[in-house]
Amino acid sequence: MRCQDIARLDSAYIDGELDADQTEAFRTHLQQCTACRQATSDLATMVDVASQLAPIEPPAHLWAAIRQELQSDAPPERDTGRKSARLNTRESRDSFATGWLDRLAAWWSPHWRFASLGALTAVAVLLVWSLGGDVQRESTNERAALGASPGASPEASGDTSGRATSVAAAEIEPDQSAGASHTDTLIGEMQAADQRYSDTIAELRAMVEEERDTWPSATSAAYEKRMRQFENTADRHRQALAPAPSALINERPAPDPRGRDALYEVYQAEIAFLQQVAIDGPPALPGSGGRP
Amino acid sequence: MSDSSDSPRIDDDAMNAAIASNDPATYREVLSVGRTYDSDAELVAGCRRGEEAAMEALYTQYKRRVFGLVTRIVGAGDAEEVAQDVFVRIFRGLPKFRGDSALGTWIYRLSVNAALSYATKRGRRKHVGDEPLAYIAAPARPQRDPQLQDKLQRALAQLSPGYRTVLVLHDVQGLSHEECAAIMGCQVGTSKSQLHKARAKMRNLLGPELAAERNRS
Repeated sequence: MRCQDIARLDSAYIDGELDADQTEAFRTHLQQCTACRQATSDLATMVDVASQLAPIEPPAHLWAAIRQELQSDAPPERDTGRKSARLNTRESRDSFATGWLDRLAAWWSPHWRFASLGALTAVAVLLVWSLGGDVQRESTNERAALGASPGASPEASGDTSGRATSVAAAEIEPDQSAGASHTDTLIGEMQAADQRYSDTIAELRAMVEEERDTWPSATSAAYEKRMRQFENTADRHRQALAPAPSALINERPAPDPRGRDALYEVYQAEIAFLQQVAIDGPPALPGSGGRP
Repeated sequence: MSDSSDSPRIDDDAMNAAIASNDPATYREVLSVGRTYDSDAELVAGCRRGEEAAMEALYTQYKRRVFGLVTRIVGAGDAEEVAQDVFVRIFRGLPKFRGDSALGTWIYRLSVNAALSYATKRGRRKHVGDEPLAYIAAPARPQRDPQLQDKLQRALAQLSPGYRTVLVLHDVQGLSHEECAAIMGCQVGTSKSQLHKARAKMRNLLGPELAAERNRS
């Protein structure tokens, strides 16, 4: 076997793919040729080092990002509220068990509690609205049976539920129907939820920023890139939720719970990411300087 | 999504122990639900039914392999974006998965195609070797230069995407040439010859480091 044969077969030799005769000839040549012996040794070392490379753990927020992207294109589901609640529960447990810093725990639970309260309030408002509508219809029927005029006030017929609805409507927008007033309430709840998410993200970002001066520039750039992705995605959802100009002029913008759900999932993913960075620091980022 | 009764139960004792240990990795391990799907066929069927537990189990089972592969092909800075794209393709493509190949081979093929496509589009704009790779490397063997794995990572980043792919699949991920060929869509002989060339290139790139290593021993 000559040196050029060794160069042609060394990879197969390392992998044990040569037959017995070839292996014997290969080894005989190595005993006589220092250059080929060193070259084969180097190749074996390189392959051995490559095989020792550690598995790479993906960042913890990757799964949330994948789910978010899958769900953004999924057909609308009726029980998105229940699904979101389940996601939040999982994330809350995750945050607890990952040894969340005390100062983070101090605000985390109340924030999710607020979000849950907001959702419950919205459901309660919807229930009251539909119940109030039923009572109103019943009252109208009663008034018709008694020969009352259609324009008679609820107070005249003693319909206190109807009065409460009318007063709420008058406080928000006097010339709209009771249904529109509840739409306003829902929009108000959603705006409040937007604000809470925004505040939460701002708080987390401020915490991360405190440490960011100590990061390598590449890590800081990776963080910036990720945050821009979140902001761009959230912007797209917000633009999709913005009412058309004609809707602002002619009618009231209708709340879009499904669209909101998608936006809130972006917020949740962003919060999960910031949470991870706050816990792990730079190692939570791609291109970071060192995973512990 | 699946009814809660279909979801695998999480062991409360294990969960409490994980919480007490205050170790994120332990906690995530407890949350991993892959153990209730005994075969790839069950996993695929669960994903097709839209079961969250099955999807999470599949992700848990393949996340390191997919993320490791794409990280070593496109670099650490872009790996997250590509890995996310790969898993979205996997879940969207599962209804069309016919089982002609093993699930793992199919997932590897999607990963390689996505990573190579990304690397091709990116072209020369950025070089994966420019990115910090320190967090990728595991502690080297004590008798070896502790920096050798880092240097190997940087040399790997200088290979062409095709050479990089076959070397990562065979030497890093430990796949056979038959599996590499199925993933890359080529003959077994082509996989072997590509690996041979990739290794030779790596040996040249690492010449001084390997010579120093030889002198140490």
